[in-house]
Amino acid sequence: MLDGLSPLQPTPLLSAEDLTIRFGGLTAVDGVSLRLEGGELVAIIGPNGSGKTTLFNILNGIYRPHAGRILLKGEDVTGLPADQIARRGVGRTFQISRLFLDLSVLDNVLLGRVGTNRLAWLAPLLRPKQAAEELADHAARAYALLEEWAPDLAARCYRPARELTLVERRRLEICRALASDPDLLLLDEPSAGMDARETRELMEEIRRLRVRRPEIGIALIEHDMSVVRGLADRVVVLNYGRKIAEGTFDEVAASREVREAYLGT
Amino acid sequence: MSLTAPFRILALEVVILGLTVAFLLTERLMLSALWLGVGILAAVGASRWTAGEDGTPWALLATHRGWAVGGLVVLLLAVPLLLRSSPYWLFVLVLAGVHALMAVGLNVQVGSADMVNLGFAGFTAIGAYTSAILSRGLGLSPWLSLWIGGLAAAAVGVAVGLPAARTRGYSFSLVTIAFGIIVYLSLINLPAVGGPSGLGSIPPFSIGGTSLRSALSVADLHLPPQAGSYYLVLGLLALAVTSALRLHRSVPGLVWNALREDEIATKVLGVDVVRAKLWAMGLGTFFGGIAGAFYAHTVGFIAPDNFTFLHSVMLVSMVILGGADNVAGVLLGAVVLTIIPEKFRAFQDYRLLLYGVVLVVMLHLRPQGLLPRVVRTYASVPRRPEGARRPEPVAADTVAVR
Repeated sequence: MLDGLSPLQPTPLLSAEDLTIRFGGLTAVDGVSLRLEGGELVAIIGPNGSGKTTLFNILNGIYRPHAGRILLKGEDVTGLPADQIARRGVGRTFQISRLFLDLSVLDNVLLGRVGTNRLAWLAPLLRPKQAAEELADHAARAYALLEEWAPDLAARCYRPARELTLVERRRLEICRALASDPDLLLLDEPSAGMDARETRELMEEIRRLRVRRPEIGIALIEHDMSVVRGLADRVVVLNYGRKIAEGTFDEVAASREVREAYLGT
Repeated sequence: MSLTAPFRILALEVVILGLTVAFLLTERLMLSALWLGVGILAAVGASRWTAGEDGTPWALLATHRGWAVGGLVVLLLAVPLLLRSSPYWLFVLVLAGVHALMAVGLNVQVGSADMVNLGFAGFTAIGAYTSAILSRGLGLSPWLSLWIGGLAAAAVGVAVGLPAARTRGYSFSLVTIAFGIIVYLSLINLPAVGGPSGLGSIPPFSIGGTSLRSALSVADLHLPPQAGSYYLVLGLLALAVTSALRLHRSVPGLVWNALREDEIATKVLGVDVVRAKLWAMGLGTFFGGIAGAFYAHTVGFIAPDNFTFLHSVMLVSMVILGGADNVAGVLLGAVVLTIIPEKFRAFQDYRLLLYGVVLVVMLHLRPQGLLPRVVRTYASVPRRPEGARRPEPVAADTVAVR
């Protein structure tokens, strides 16, 4: 039940402090802090190469930061590998979608569901019937999720993901991330390569997601300012790996440093 | 339709098996080649004949699984009768069974998870030598040492996997090649296990004091001495195929497929990829170890030369020719690549060339193999006609009840 505005939780969903990572001599992310509450949508913007995707890669454990701390629901998860972080409720999509292209649409979503479960490797041999029933149950739920979020993809659930268009792939990847029931969703440029109409549809879907799963916190990397303006509660601006501004869209848009970063001097 | 479907399946099986036996029994090389051609045409024709909407016989076979499996079992059991006059070819079929057992295990790695293990012969050697030494030296029953051989191979598989699972692609293959060569050289240089001349007088499997290597005669039927081994390898194969299919059709198989497609994406979904690879190593090499042990007790003699790099390449060729990640395809690949070189022994100097040509041609023309993998379907999710849309899209403001 939605009972108005939820009060600020004592422990935020995500609290990243002073994250720093260097590749050789380049400091790709430099002392960036980020807080995110459940139900909040934070957009991360910045010119190409400003460290947005690298920040995501640190947050979900693909990279280990050289300095800084990541707290998820109060638990220190700094340095944990990506699979451990996924199991703690972080789902993500990639800028260039990383679907399992030769597997069916349904299997992609199904993997989103089973990945975070405890895998019983010998169950199919020791308890074949039970294992089969469990998988069938997961499949039915994965299908229900597809029907809810992408009925057009549900209709093609047994087709290989390779047959999908770029836009459909992106939507399927979001479905796959949702299938794991994440608390925190990291969306890396979901609108890349979409035309104006497709972008509007995507925004509609994200709004719908926030209505139906009001507890999910979303961090969104985005270049399309109409999407940022339309969706974000808060905007974080990165430039050369540093956070140069944070606030509402209007506040950030008014910042001189942000304009310089985007337009040059 | 439903009346004729079982008939069609049985006819398909009879044609394929009949032609195989005819091929085996033909002495003249040219005639064998002719049979081979006829056989291929007949197999293609028959599978077209039984094909469903998607162009493959799988759907039909799945709906009439009882008929398909039952028919196949009866036919396979009858093969030793047909081959009474040529025990040599029955022995070749036993070898095909051993290779199939190995290939089914290797397929878990190469086919499902794209871990191209090029040292698989080394793991089968562990199984063979373990079982041989336990039964020969300690007097353990081969029925027991067989499984210990499998477990030993699995343990070594996991141990090799610990460093190897952190690599992928060519690096993984290189690690496994190195392992295969280490095993081969160790066997040659360890006098305790027979050195280059190998281990002989390995006890056979026996039932109630009767060796499975002795001739079987039930009532008036006299079967060649190889029949016992043939039936035993069929039994082991049935066990391995059932296990492999169950793994394939459940979460582990799905996770291995995900690894094959994209390791990072798999990790990001919460899968411990190193552990997933270790299970693929352990389970795959377990079958390999059992196959090696079975071979040791069946032939009674093993030597390092039974477990060379060439054997590893042959096993990978079988998986790729037959159809990676399709258990039926892998069986086909193992049988074809065992029988054909044996039939055309006159060209045996060119055997390695054959494997090379098979690999290159298949990877170029039909990378999915003779029998491509099939899309998993779930009883809980009905197959719907292409493009069928839901009549009413969900309204945007409906809040889902969970």
